[in-house]
Amino acid sequence: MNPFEAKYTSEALELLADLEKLMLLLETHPDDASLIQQVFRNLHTLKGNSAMMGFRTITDFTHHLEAIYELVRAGKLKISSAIINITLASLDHLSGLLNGDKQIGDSNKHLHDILTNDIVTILDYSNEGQAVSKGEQLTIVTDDATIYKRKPAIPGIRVPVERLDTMMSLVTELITLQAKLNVLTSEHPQPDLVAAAESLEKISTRIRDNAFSMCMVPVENMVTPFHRMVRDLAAELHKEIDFVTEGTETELDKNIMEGLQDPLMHLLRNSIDHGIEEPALRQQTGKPRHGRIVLKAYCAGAHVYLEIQDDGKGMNIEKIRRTAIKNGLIDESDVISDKELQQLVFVPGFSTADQITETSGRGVGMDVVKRRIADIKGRVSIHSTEHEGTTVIIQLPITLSIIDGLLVKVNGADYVIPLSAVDICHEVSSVQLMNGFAQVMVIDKETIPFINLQEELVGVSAARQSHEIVIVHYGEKKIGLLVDIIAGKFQAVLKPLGRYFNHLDIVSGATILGDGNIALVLDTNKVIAQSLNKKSKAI
Amino acid sequence: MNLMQQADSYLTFTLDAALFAVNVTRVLEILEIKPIVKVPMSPSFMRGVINLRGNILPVIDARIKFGMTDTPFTIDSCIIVMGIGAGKDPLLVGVLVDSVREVIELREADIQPSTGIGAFCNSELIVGMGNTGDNFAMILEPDKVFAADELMLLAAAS
Amino acid sequence: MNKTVLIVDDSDFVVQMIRFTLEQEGYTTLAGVDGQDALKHFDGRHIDLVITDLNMPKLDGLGLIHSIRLQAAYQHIPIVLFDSHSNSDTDYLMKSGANALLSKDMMNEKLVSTVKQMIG
Repeated sequence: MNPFEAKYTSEALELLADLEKLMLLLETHPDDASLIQQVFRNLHTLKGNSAMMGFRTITDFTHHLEAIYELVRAGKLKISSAIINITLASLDHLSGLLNGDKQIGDSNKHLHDILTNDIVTILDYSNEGQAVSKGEQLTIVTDDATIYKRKPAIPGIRVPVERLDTMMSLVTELITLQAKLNVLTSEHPQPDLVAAAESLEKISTRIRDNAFSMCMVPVENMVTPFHRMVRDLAAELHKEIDFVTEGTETELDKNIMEGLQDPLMHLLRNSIDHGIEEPALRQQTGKPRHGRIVLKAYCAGAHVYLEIQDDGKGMNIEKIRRTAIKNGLIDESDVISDKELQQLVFVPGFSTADQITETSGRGVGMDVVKRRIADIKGRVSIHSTEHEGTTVIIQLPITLSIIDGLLVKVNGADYVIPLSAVDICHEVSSVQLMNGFAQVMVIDKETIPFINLQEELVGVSAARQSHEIVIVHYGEKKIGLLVDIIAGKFQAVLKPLGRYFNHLDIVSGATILGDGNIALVLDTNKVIAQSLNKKSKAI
Repeated sequence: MNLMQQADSYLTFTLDAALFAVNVTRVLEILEIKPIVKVPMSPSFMRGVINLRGNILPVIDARIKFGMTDTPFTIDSCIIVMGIGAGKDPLLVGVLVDSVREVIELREADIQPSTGIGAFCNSELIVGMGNTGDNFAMILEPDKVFAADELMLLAAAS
Repeated sequence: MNKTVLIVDDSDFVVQMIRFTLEQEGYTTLAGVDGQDALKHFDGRHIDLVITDLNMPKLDGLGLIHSIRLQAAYQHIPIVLFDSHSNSDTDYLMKSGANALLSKDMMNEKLVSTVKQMIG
């Protein structure tokens, strides 16, 4: 390497950093001549230095960019948001080149060509005597929002992931310890101690929330490869597809995001392969030639939702029904709503594709997607209208490791029911339990099935008197769970049970209580499913 | 000059009346018996989990694993924390035993291959019989006895 | 005695590179960060050659050349003007009073030969 390369690179990067600051100032002061002059200067210097080092590509690219500012300086061009965006994107590109091998290769060729093209177009455009004024829609600029995505101006620092993980670990230990302190304080209540414990609890909660927010990343971060994939696959299959993202500033725990990459890729592939029809077919049925796939992210309650919506051909209910019957999943005579039928695609081995296409893979189907999403404690459902399109909705917890729960005792043992699943609680004495064949209870004229957790979890038949009922959501239904007593709300730091219990799904983990005891965290959906399973087998 | 043979240290413990041994390099610590929380839908040899300084430790009942009768705890009952599996992150498991005896030194010469008779002289689980001087201890290989995968298969089948 | 070359460019990087290259060849070098700064050196001392960038703040290459030529002592001093792109308007630049033009991307190859050609 040329001995001067290091010096060249560091000076070039300084110039770029300065240019970035100038661009942001220019955005709010587009007519400031001295800013424009400084931008021009920096670009000129960068160009010169690069020429001296013999870096042809960087020199030429910078030359074009410099030419824009020469025109601006001469009054032949006005600063517009398009110009600013292109410049910023170009600065990023140059930065990438400088930090790399200063050559154009596979990874940056596409971007390089697009930027060069756009810059040259602006130059030609203005040379024909038309000023590109601020705010005017430049139709020549590539529609590709991702390329012109600017890096946020908010300063940040790089932190190794391991440090974040360590911090999270320490935070959860802090919460556990603080819970213990609460217990001790209630056993030895002294005014000063109680006040201090309360303050500690408040601060711990704030630290917890702050730490979590550090581990949150916007959905935007994982979306970039999707754009690429959609473009490439659509081209390969001769389909015309617009891929749009909404709400990608929504944040998710980074661990959850990692678990989502594969399932989302698969769902997108499905939409492109099986959902969106060929352009000609679409036109025949009165749809626009371009198919549309939307990836939407939003928060609601304690969950983050991700939706993949396509306006393709939707799912054929009859076909699903026939396949389900053929695979023995349902009987001819079963009465099942269309909605429930659609969810059958998540059952392993279910496939209505007449031939398993190469893109969507053999048997690597929706059941795997569902499992991967379940691994990150999420849920997925599919909603489709034939001929109109299909929407897949993924519901995710905001974070994995701390949940708000309801502490209950069943047969003397402690359990935690996630608050997100809980609807309402009742005392047994206030409701009517019908212990017949179908265990239901009547509350406010509503009949709700119930399960005795003592029987379900421990296997003994109602040894102790159950005093309370926790009513939880089960899909769209409500089910009551009978417990001994409800001990109160609890912030549970979820700890995995470990590999020895991997097979177990009714318990999602354990948590350590303030007094050192262990409470098992229940996955109520699985508990109820198990109970229903047993009952149906018994019939 | 006699060749000084390498001697390894083994921790001995009892299950029922039988004497067992395990290489100390696999033993992380010994705990007094403490309340074990039973996990539903788990096989009988999975006693449950305990709180080990803020972490969840699974506890296996060695007696049940070896097919012995289950008896209540005594004051001598202990939990031996062992590390299973290779690699820098061994899987930790607690093993419930009737009592813990002393640590003994055994040279290669002191270890005979297992005789193959007896209820739990399964040659896969027992790597040999160690001569303690006045007794024989069945030497366990923790990786084989408490392998998570095998146990999970058993659990799934039950 | 060594020949003395004055290098004027607002990029420190460029100045370093050229100084290094020329000093290897046995020349003594002086530097200026722009036209105004460079003029300080024209205080009567002996300078054999000036290499100057075109675009600089305060006083640019053309302005510097003009100022140098105004001084009797330095009227005939050889001046090389360099520019960062080879597409520039060479006629116009040559009228400025420079003796030679060099573009930065040819700098690597042509620098030493040009200097040697001009002052030996």
